This record gives sequence, structure tokens and C-alpha cells, in this order.
Amino acid sequence: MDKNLYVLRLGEISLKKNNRSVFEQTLKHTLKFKLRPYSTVIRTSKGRMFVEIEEGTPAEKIDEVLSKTFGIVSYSQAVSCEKDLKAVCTMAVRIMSRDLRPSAIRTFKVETVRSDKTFEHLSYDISREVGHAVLEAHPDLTVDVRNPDTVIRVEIRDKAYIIPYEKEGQKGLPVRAGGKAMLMLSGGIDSPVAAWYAAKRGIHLHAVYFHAYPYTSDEAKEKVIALARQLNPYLDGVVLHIIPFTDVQLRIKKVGLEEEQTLLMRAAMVEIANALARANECTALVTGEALSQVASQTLQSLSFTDHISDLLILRPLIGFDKEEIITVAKRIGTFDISILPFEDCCTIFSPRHPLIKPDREVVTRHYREAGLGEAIEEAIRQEEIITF
Amino acid sequence: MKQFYFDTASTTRISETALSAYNRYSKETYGNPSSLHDTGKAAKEVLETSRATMEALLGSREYNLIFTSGASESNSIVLSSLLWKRRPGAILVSPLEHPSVTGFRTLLKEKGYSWNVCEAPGGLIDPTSIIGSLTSQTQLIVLSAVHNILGTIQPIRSIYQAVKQRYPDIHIHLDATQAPGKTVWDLETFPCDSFALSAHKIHGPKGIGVLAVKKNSTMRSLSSAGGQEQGMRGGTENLPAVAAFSVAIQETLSNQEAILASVRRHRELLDTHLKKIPGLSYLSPVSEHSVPNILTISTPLPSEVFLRIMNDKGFALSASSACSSNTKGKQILDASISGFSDTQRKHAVRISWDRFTSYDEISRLITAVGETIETYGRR
Repeated sequence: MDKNLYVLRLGEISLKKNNRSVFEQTLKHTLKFKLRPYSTVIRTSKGRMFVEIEEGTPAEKIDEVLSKTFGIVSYSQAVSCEKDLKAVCTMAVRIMSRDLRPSAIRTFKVETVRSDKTFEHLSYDISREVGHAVLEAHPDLTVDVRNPDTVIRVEIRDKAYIIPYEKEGQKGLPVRAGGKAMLMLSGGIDSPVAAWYAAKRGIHLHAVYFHAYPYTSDEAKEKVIALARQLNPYLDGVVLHIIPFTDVQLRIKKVGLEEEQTLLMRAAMVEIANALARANECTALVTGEALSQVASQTLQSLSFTDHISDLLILRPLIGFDKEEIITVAKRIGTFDISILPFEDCCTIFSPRHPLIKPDREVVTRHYREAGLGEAIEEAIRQEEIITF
Repeated sequence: MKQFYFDTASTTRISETALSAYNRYSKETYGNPSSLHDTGKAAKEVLETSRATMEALLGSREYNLIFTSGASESNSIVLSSLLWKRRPGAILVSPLEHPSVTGFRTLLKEKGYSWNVCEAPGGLIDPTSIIGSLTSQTQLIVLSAVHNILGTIQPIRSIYQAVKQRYPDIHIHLDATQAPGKTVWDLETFPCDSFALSAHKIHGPKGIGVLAVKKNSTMRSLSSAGGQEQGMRGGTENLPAVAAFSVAIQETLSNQEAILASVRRHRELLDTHLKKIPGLSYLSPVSEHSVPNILTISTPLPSEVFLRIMNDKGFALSASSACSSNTKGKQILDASISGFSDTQRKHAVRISWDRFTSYDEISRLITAVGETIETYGRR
């Protein structure tokens, strides 16, 4: 039994027409890279990807990679044998034995896909024979065609494949197939989730974090680095740009109107993110903003920051409730890091009564008049880069 | 980097004399005081001499001195002794108490005790609120002699007299940790049925303290273990620490006036300059009701931010552990102490110093505080 054959269902990619191979190639490269140093042989066929992974690769590593790579709808370890009904039955009996199958499996059914129409037996007959063999060999299992614990899939292709059970993938499209964007990453709950959604649609992300020491502690910066590290299996090679932001903030505090402080700060961040994006060939910004969550996320405030940005700003969480964001944050493992108590101590910069419905022309003029150019350039010069 | 240390209310560095006593008794008198041989007897003698010295200095002849690991353990022994009582009653504490006291709330409430907290507006316990909170059920009152954050000196004498007049059987325990070296110590000013001290607050070693209990008290500790310390605190005595503690007590109490005069001079300098800094306000009261060398201020910056900037400038101060916008964080000024705004609590920073602090260090501190607020504070 060759232990390390995996069959991946690709879902949406397989619906693509002319550029399907671009997506497939991207996914293939990603998988090869993520599974290194173990060598892999990958081929694609009819909406599926067959990944043969070097003997001795730890199963946890394979699971970690396959379960966190976008573009995979589901994956399963498969065994193959020659196209012979008897051989298929023997293999199915073996793989469903008590010590190989997951202990939760009590009921099963068999489904057969006969892509090779020259094969002498019909799908129905194959299913029936395999089911019979498994039942006879393992009396503790029963057949349930309506709601089985597992579906044993038999596929007759170039060889016969048996896929005893499937695990869920992240779906979406492979990272790097959808271009490059600059994520505005804070230490909060939202932006990591926004990152996940952007990456899910194939975007390769750079991220920018604005560090306002001493207003924010170095632990806050470590927290953002930890978030990037946690996200990296999904984002696949995120590049974190850390920008010292204190001087810009102090300048805003000095010259800006109190009720516009937050807006001017957001604008400066967007301007810096634009500059970094251009320098790194990113064609959009990504933020964790959700409509009307806070004063700087009202329709008018978002419209103002849009006005400042040359680049498209993607806001994947725009229609999300906080609870929905938290659910995803928990699933992708960023929630516990985000709630560490090293958040922004920027209350000193937050106005008592922030503008909720700013006029974007007026605030833009105030922003231009604030004369932040030099402070912004200096901040960018002092950027620190961490590549994951 | 060596820091300018302004956190002496948290702990102090050990004095040379206390350290040399610690060294000497570690090397020379290493016997177990419970042993019958001469090495053991020598240790026993040092133990009892140290105890007698401390008793004389503290003026505590009516008390048994029990050596513990520190005031936290001393407080624990007093509160846990209630578990021996047949019937649960009531406990009265002030809102100024240390976690070693308040930590018993859950357990004792579960055992049927009612846990009452008196008023302390501005950090000063109101004696009438104490009397008003007493019932025939009250068994124990626990009070701080000096508040560790605001430096307020509690009117223990009037509280003691008022309580004993009505309820002579209520046990009054004092957490006196912050009193020696910060105010004149005598049991006339701080009358009580028991009190707790820690050596490390007065330049003694860490890990040693005392519980003094009036000789007529029936207090029992949960277990007498090996029977040491009159059955109140088992375990082989920490002899070098006891000896060093007694040296530290001696240094502190026999020079009280000189020490207080020195720390008061520093306070004067601080008062003269800090009060001129716009945006800075005092939370510690300026009166004879507070010690000179603990000063809690409020600045335009969140505590944590202020602390971080000062730390980078080379000053060790004390502040709440968490960010102002984090409601889960602990603040140094507990919300149950009335008289302060929410912002004041979130922006509170404690400055404390001792007799080793120099005039120059105080001047540098003043400059650094001014610069910090000027550069980083709100307009």
C-alpha cells in the first residue's frame, strides 16, 4: 500500500476554463513549497489533484498543509491497486480494518465512479462487491446508505483508487493566483480575519503594522508578529512591514482638530500603506473594517479614507457582525492572540467626540494642510520588514 | 542599565548591614534551632536574641512574635484561623487591603462568613463607617496601617478605641507592612490585637516577615506542623533571614526621625516642582494623614504608557499593569476606593522612595516627569 497518495478535490478551480491551468500550477507550486523538504509528485486530472508525497513524511505535516491551503475543497488519503475487482475488495477490507480506520466510523456505504468505461464491471456491481467484502470481514461495521459515518469511494481511472474518507479543506482559490495586496494589520480581532478572507480568494498578502511606541508597548508589536505567524500557513509567505508611527501621530495631535484626530490618523496610515503597496507591487489595500462598527467605520468615514487612497481598498468584513468575525477568528486560531491585553493605548489620541459623519472634502483639505509629508517619509524610511 | 529606583513601596534593596548579618549567620550559625546539640543551640540562641531585639524595638512585649515568610503569610494565618471557629460570623475589611487579605473572601464566604467592606474616601478609612458596619457577629477587622498606593495613614487609634469600647472581643489585625520607615512606628499610634510586617520593605531580605499576636489571643494556625514558632508556623526557621530582619528593624526604628526627615526633604522638592507641571495632579493627600515617601500622581497619559516612557528614561515607577482601554486590567487604585475619577485611576502612577534615594535622583525624576508630559501628554 503506498501510504502517501492524497487525492484533492479542487472545486471552483475546475470550473475555470482557459486559465484553469494557471490556478492549478499555482496550487501545485504552493503545495510543493509547503511540503518541502519532502519531495512530491503532483498531477491533475478531471478536477482532482493527485499528490504523491515521499515516504516518511509526518502525517501531521501533510494534514497541516492540506487543511490550510486555499484552493482545496477536500482531501483524502487514497490507496491504489491494479484494476481488478478482487484486488480492490482486498484493499478495501485492509484499509477498513480496526487499527487503520478512525474509531468513530461505525457505518459506511460504498460509491464507485467508473471513469474508465472499459472496465469490465459496472459501478453498481463494484460497490456491492466491495461493500459485501468489507461487511463480511468486519462484522462490527454496518451499511447505512442514507447517513453513513463514511463513504468509501472507489474510483476506476488509470488505476483503481480507494478513498476511505475525506477531510475538509479551506476551499477558495490558491494564494498568488489572485494578485498581491497590502493588508493593514492591527493587533485586533478583525484584520487577521480580513486577511484570511482576502487570501481565500487567492490574494498574496503583504501586511503593514503601525507601531506607536511608547504609546503601544513592544508586547503589542510581538503580538502582531505572532498573528502574522499564526496566519502564515493560510497566507503562505506573508511579508510584515512594521512602521514606527509615533512621530506622525504626535504631529497629527499637534496640528489636527481634536474631533478629526482618528480620521487624520487613518488617512496617514492609508497614505503610508499606499506607498508601501506601490513599492511592493501590490494593487490593493485590505482592511478589517466592518460598516459602522466604530466612528471611523461609518459610510462617511470610509468614504473619506477611500478618497485618500489611490489604490482600491478591499474590506472583506464590511457586512460582518462582530460575533461572525469572532467565530472565524477562533477557527483560524487568531482570536486567542488578538485578545491578549496589549492593545493600543491610544486613548490619548482618540477624541472624546469623534466626527462620525465627516465631510470628505473638508477633512481631506485639513489632512493636506497638516503637512505630514516629512514625518511620513521618515516613518517609511524606518520600516522594519519580517518575511514569513 | 542601572535604574533610578522609585518603587520602594513595592520592595527595597537589602542594606549592607542586613546583608552582612545574613551572610554571617548563613555561614556560622547554620544549625537547626530545634536540635539538641551545641550547633543547634547556638542557632536557637541567635533566633531568640533576634526575637528579643525586635520585640524591644517594636515595643511589642505584650505580643508573641512569630516569624513567617512575609506579611502575606502573616495575613493568611490570621484569616485562615477563622476556619477553626464553630460558627461563622462576619469580617470587616477596608477597601485598601492587599490581595493576601481579599483573597480569602471567596473561601470565607463559602464557609458562611459575611464579608463587609467599610468606606475609605480618598484612601482614608472613615472610623464612623467602621462602627456602623459592626454587628454582634463581627469576629475580625483587618486594616492597613498605611495604604500602599496613596500612602494614607489610617486613624487606627481612634478606630481601635471606638471598636473596643463597644465590642471588646473583636480581633483587630493590622497589615503594618508600609508603616515602618514611612511614619513613626509605635503601638500607641497603631494599637491592635495582631500585626504583620515584611522585612523586604525596610531593606531586609525577602522571604521573611513577622506576625505579632497579643499573648492573650486564642488564635490558632491551621496546622502547627513541626511545632516551631509556638505552634503557629511550622518549618525550620529561616535563621539568617531572621537575624538580618532584626538588623533591618533596628536600622529603621532606631533612626526613625532621621529617616523621615530625609524622605520628607525629598517630598518637599517634589511638591515644589511637580505641582507646577500642567496636567499633573496629586491623588495622594497632602496632609499629616499621609506618609511623605509614597506619592501617587495622575498624569495626562495612561499609567502604562507613562511607566514605559519613564522606564526607558531610566526610572522605575509603579503603575497599573494594563492598558487604559483594557477594562480587564488591574488598576493600582481599586475602584472601591471612592473619591477618584475613572481617568485618574487609569492614569495613576506611584512614586516611592527611601533613605537611600539621593537629592540628585529626585531632581532628575522631576525633570523626566516634566519632559514626558511635555512631549507625550495631551495638549
